[in-house]
Amino acid sequence: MDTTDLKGLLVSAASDNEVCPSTTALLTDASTLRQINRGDGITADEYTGSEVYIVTLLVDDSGSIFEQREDKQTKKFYSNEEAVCLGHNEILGALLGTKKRGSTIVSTRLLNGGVVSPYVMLEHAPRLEAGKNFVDGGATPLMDQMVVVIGSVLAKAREFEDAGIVVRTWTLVVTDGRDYGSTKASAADVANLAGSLNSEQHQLLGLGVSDGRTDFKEEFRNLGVVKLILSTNDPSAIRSAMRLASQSAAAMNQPSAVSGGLGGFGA
Amino acid sequence: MDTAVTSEASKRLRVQVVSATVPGTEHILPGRPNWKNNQDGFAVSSQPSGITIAVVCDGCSGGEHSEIGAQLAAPILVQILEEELAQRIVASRLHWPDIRNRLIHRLTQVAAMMGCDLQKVVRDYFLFTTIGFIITPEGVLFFYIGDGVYIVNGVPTVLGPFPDNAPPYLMYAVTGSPVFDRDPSLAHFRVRRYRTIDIKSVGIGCDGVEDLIRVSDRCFPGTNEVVGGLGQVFTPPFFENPDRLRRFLARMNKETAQGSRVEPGLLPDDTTLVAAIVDWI
Repeated sequence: MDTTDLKGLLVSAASDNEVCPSTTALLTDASTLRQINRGDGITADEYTGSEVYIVTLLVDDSGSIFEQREDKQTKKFYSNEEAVCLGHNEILGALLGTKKRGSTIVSTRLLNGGVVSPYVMLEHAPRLEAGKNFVDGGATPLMDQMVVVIGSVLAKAREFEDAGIVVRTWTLVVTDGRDYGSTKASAADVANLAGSLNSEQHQLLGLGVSDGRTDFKEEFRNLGVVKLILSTNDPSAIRSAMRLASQSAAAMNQPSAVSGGLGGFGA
Repeated sequence: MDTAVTSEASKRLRVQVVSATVPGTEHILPGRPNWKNNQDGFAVSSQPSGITIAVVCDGCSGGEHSEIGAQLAAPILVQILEEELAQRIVASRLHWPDIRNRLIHRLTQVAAMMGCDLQKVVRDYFLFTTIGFIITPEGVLFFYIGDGVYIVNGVPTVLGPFPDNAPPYLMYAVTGSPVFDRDPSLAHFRVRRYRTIDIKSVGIGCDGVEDLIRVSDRCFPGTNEVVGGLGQVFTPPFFENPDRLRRFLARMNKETAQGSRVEPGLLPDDTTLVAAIVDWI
């Protein structure tokens, strides 16, 4: 998409959602626009449906996901990248099992690795594969990338709405730690934007994998994420948590989807 | 988008069709309590033989549930026409009084299952205008009872208005009506014929299309983009994406906020349009 058009969509969306000027400036600076544009993908003109479900996944590829840990009971070493990949792919699988799978577009981004896939039709969404498109990326620039992801969702939603298409969105942020490495965005910026995605039409979920130190309830609350799923730091728990997330994604994609569909989850 | 192709010596007729409907703002009542359903119905048939049939029915706005009749009648009429054409092959040989009577008979059968008072059921559910087209390699027919719009090569013809804004409804044949008493010919299908070789595009619509024509120089709500003339609907972009026509209508009826007020869109009445482009390949 032309960056002028992209900027116009974001300014419009920010205005409608009462985003403050400083956050809007961050959302529309050249670097953010470039990153958002890399994930642009399918356009409203190319899309042939009358309604769309926009699913966006931001997955932590920081070093701690790949870190080898010893299971105190079994004494075996494990890391979490395989579980994260399988969990991501299970979300795609759950969506493929819904009646509205043909009207779903998906984009996956990594905290460090950029765009795994721009917005594509669900059936074409690539699976995450440890060692291939999911490798140790380094830090945890959670706030910077949440601005990019929320901006991506807002821009794509506005593009499709302006074209006369009914839009719903579901966005998941998966992380195993607090921010480390963000250079531009603050928690206040993210919270200001996250408010745009907390409604009947939009859902924003946080999935926190315990690192033993981070209070994810507080962490996500500071970022304006009100719906969250918590997991302990082991592959089985991560798989269960991602499965829960997949149920939320699928539930919102059913014809009678209602708000607050997570049932029992909250900050 | 439906595409039908038939071979005829070295020429193959290709018909591409798109269709869409949007409820009018006086039905959805933005910013106000209550609403009415979209009272239009439409059906399109593109046959392997190359024959294309389309029907639009516009339910009487005074009817309690006239969308029921409109949405039943359109596909039933298409089916009757398919059956007739299968027997007669050439559209010019269609016997329109027969077609009318078969449609009335089928709808009356349905109405009779819906309550003891047939007259009331018909008045509440089955009053609607009807307009349609048939495209064959030989000719293009428009047929109608009531008001609406048909379009030939981008030029619209508006049917009506009728005295007292009371168009004739097919099912007045069951209830009776002063409309038919004044002019019995209104009870029957009127037909307009064209040669297919003279046709580039055709369209039909309910009377809501008159509003669409009227607002062509207005902007889509909330934007600086001008709606534009009806002719654009018969250009390739509207046939490349099957949802394009619906989006065009939906954007026109997007409500916007003006302070604390909800401003309705541009089309007060339900608007249904079927557009087709015809070429030889």
